[in-house]
Amino acid sequence: MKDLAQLALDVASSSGAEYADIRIITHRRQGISTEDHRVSQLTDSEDTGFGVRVLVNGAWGFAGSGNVTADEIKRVALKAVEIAKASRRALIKPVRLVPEPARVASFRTPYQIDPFEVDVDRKVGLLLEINRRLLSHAGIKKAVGHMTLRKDQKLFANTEGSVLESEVVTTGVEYRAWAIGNNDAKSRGYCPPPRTMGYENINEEDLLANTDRVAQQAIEHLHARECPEGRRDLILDPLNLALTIHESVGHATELDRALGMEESLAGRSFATPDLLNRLQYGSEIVNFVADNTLPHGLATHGFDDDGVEGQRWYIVKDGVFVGYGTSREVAGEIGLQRSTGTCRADHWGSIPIVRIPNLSLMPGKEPLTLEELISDTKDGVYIEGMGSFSIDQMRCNFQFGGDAFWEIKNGKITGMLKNVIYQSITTEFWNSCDAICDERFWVPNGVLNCGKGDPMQISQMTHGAAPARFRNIKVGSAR
Amino acid sequence: MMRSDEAKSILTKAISFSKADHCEAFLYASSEGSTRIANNAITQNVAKDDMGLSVRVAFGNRVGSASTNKFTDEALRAVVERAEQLARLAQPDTEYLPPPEPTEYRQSVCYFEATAETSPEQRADAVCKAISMASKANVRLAGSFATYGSFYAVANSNGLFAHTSETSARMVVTAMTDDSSGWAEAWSRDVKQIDPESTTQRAIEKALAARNPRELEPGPYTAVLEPAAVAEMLAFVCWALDAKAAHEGRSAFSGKEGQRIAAESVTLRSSPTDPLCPTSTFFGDGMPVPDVAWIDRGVLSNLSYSRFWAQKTGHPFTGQPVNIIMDGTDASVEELVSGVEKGVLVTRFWYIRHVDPMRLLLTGMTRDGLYWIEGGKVQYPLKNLRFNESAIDMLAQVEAIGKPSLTGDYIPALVPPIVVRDFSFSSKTLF
Repeated sequence: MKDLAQLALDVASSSGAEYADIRIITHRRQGISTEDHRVSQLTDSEDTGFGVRVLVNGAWGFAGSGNVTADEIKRVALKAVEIAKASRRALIKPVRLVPEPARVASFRTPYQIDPFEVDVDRKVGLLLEINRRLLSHAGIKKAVGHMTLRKDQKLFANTEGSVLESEVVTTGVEYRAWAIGNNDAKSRGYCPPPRTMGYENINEEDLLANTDRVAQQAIEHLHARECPEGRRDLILDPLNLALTIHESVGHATELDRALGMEESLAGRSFATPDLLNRLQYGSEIVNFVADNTLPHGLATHGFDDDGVEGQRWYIVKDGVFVGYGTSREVAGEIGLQRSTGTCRADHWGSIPIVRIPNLSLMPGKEPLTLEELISDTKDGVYIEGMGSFSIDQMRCNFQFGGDAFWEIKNGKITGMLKNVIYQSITTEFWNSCDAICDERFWVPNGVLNCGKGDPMQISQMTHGAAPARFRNIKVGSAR
Repeated sequence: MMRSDEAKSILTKAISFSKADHCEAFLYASSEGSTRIANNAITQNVAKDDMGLSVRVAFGNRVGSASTNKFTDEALRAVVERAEQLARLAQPDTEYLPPPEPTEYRQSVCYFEATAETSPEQRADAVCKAISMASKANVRLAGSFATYGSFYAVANSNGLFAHTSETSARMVVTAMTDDSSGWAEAWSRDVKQIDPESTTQRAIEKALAARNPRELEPGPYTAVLEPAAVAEMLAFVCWALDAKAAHEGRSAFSGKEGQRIAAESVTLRSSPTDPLCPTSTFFGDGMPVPDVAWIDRGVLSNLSYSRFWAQKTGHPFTGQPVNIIMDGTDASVEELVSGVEKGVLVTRFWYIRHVDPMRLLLTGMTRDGLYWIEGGKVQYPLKNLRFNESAIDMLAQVEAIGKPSLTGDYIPALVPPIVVRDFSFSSKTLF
């Protein structure tokens, strides 16, 4: 494989490329879905191919193919150069990559059990047993489960001399129960954190131990009260926060967006470079740390697809906006000497783009439990899990829901609510954060299906958080 | 692009390796190119050629699937064995049906050689024209020009073989000033129908007309929705049509089959042979795509029936919508605006998501051109707004319909601009 990689680099260089890289990747996927007592989908795929990226006079070209042979690699490398030459026709400023030391290295997700070596009947049996237990509750009319297993084996090489090999394994499972009646249907799900781990991340005992709670909460959800409209305090659990962080901080601090490069689809960002080190993004207790070295993080891949090694840095420090996720292409635009290393592609046939890193809200520094936080809240709503989510193309106005909602009155949970949404403006929201539980309650949840780019790419990243409180937020019933 | 006899040979060979009761094999090949611009420059320029094969086998009703992108005899044998291994270990799928029998298909014209053969230079020609126009108009431009060609074939152990080739070309353009943006798109299966100049001109005019936007308090307003905005909402209607979910009480359409749910002027249908919006005439498994009216003059006339649910309920098979066709009139957007005393004109929406699927209550933002209408004329631009609105209520509140045009973000759509009364805008944003 390394010979084939070198062939691509040689062909590109001799055809005029001042920089070239190649990724040769095998993507292995297994997906198992269950619906009630049946397996609704059981798929297993293996997909091998390569992508060649070149810079010719500062203009990008990229081409990929699923046919990994010497002849095809030559053809595709030449095609990438041809495309780059077409790109030169509309080039205002040549692309200049910030430096990154060349290295020969390898990275492998630390895992104990290869998920593809585990018998399929064990995985199917687990999901069907979960459904059976959910459906054993009289009020549950529908149960679904899904297991996601991924393995990506990659060889990256570039004309600067880097040769990087990696194997990243990802595992995750989730399930959901539906209660149906009174012309309504409400659900409750359970989704332990997906991680870059082996099958040991699928904790069968824990998954089964939660079925009764999930079923009972789905039934209670169906019969819950509507949420009164008004401004109230919100307490969000780590899983709900994961999506809020993702949308209102993660995407907003991708430097390519901030520079206008994603305008044609995903949009731009209010967090422009002139606001760096000046914008009060959140209250003083709010710290967002990007960490692509986080053990078992979904974006912990050793290196990104620029060949930059994983790093840890602040995006928001003590409430102040201080950093971006970058690629080698855009890092120089704000004077960085080195990329933060968040340039990734989702497939051998996709061009690497700036992606959200593992990005987490740091836990509070003072001891604080969820129970203490609730007991300190007079009039609020406590939300668990992910639900409806929408945000504008500048990442300002957002509206989120959740998976389960409880009313808080005078420091006590008084009962479940339904159809709850909260709406705010990003900086107003994070500046209203006045309490974050401590590190004992920090959970590294994550996102397996982040869409970005044109053509669209799907990526994964971890967003850890501990429960946190937000004061005086517009909360209402979805109607 | 692959020839049908080559595909048949590969698929037949894969099926011959199977020892299962049923075997279906699916082959796709695609070639795509995309040139992307931002800040008046090409920022991304990519091409990808891909090919893959999937196999689905069944022992009784124990089913397994596997896929590969290698095509040697050894690889084909291995992928079939992998699918069979999964099927043997699988629990019975009580909704499994044997593969379809061979049948005849209607013809639709979805493939244009010129689109499939579009070169990076040709895409660069188009975007350079757009950039040049933007520079003259003193606006910043972002967008993309993408061309796509695909081949798909299916065969099964009952002797069915079907194949189709499709192309598409799409240009999207966002023009920006310091405080405004305007958007336009062109979509066609034939790249020759894409006019970069007129598309760019529309985006530039939208952006220039959106400068100095004013704030509007959220609330219910009469809204003129341009076709892109309509298609985005209708995609959610189409995804909610599943009959099984409705019959199980899990859908906004539960209990509404055969009932009036929309204004009488609303007819929503799918047809793979529509000359303006053609799609494949068969589904992935080889089942023919029928013409279906989902909403007929305001009445929910059909839900979407899978093969299993159709057989279980005795309803004709419909499959899922393959395109969105909403009947219209000859009225232009300007003519629709002329009939509105007070309201807003929406270019398109962004980031639409479910809020309450049981009512098809959706939320989303306006984007790239929102304007205030008064006295039948566009008066001034507005800052963007968030909406919380049921797609079903929207169809019930349709007051006027214009001339359909093609738009192609989610699935091919031929939809008109519409006028909706009391469209619910719920919050403001900063721009």
